[in-house]
Amino acid sequence: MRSSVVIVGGGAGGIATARGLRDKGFDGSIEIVSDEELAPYERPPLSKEFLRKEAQPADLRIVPDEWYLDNDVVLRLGVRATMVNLHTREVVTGSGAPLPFDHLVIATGGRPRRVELGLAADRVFYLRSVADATRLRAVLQPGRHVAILGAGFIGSELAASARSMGVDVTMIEALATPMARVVGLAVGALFSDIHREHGVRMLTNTTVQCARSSSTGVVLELDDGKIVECDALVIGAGMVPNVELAAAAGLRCANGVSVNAMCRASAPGVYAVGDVAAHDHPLFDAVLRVEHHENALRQGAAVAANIVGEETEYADPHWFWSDQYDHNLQAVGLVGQGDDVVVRGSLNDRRFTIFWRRDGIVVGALGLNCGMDVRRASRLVSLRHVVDPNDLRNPDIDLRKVSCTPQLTASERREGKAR
Amino acid sequence: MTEYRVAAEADLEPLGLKRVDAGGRPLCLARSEDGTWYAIGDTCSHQDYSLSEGDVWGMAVECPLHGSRFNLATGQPDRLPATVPVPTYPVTIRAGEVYVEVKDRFPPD
Repeated sequence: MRSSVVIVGGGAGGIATARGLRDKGFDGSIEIVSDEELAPYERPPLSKEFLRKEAQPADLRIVPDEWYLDNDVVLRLGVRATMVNLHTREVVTGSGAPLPFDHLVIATGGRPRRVELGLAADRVFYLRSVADATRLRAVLQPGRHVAILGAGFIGSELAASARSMGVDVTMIEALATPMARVVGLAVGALFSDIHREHGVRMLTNTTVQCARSSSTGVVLELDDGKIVECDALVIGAGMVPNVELAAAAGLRCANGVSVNAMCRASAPGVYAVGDVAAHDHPLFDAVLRVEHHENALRQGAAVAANIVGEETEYADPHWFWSDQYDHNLQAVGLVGQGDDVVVRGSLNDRRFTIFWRRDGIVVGALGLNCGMDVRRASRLVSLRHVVDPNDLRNPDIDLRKVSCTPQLTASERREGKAR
Repeated sequence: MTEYRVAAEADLEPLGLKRVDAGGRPLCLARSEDGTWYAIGDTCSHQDYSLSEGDVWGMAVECPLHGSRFNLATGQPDRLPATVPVPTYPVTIRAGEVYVEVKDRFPPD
């Protein structure tokens, strides 16, 4: 009898799993259940090309429409998975017969964290789906004024896109700089400058005290007494993982669906990938839930490998990028951690890579307009090599060729391996 | 088909990349780790960016912007986010000079 896989969620992680299964020659049935009406699409362009109207919904499709048929993958759109029964091994949906599975992949992603300010619903925007972005791009007209609450990655990319469209932008951020939690205060301050140079009114260390709808827009009163009057408010306050389905099924969840190094959840034959997966990372020896596109892709491929019986640990070094204005930011690994910092290039030139080392091992890197160095550093992070800081510091040295000493991974150390 | 001289053999070491022009068409000239020469279209199929700014990893060139990888021999993407291949062109070395053969401009290949 053919083995069956049901994937709940049609985002990057779900599709990567389906692709990975067929790439690996899996010949069982694959069904993808997505509560969106649109065929699976890429989310990164939603804050950039799509918002700027340089891309249309059809351009965002992860795979062409015919891919599903060609690869014998059943795509059920507009269908919500309402329950998972781990005893009968079925997914119950809002429509039609339950879907039996041998392997279940939870790829339910997340939803924007809501901030209730008591404003009229038509003045408040979030950004997660094509529907959200379509609504938002209708208000991004030249001369309009949009306030963005939260200068994380989504808020920052959105600000850059809006400015390029001639929209007035005010950013309101509780921390001292944009993206401070991830990139730290030094790089964050650089992005404050970049946004200001592009005409963004950047209000940091402050938050909305109270808000009211005016006749045409929104009036925000900040806790430092400033008043912001704007046409619309976009809230970029992070996301909440969609764990409800998994939690109700009795799967262990803690800030996401808990999965082991092989991306297996707490029941046999059940996996989680992408934004919803709280993964026990074998390289970093920590439980990490990562909201980056690349992670969803790689985790999906790893789950596919494990479904076909390869027993592979997922040890991706977590690389990601963000494009804002004409700047390309990239990072990998444990940014801002470790006991030692090495800078290659210069922050003032806005062309640099920062490396974080722990016991001499590169554990993380972040670069601005130096993508190649970060991509090269991701290999060093994966390999857990002790690297000479002078090699890291010297921009003339190719990071593919630095001399280094291999170290054991956390799981290898636990197993008592020697090298 | 038209053949263009695009570089000298000494211009590129193994793992090297160079943007060259073949009759108005930007190409990414590349050498894999074993020194073999390749030429592919220089523009990443994911987003308009020069692949010759990137890196050679094994048999692939990697775009520095978002990490898409293309097989040097086939042009096929073997790493997302790119899903569309880039064109490939035959390379010949004669007397220390590097030649690339491209189809004539129209119809475009």
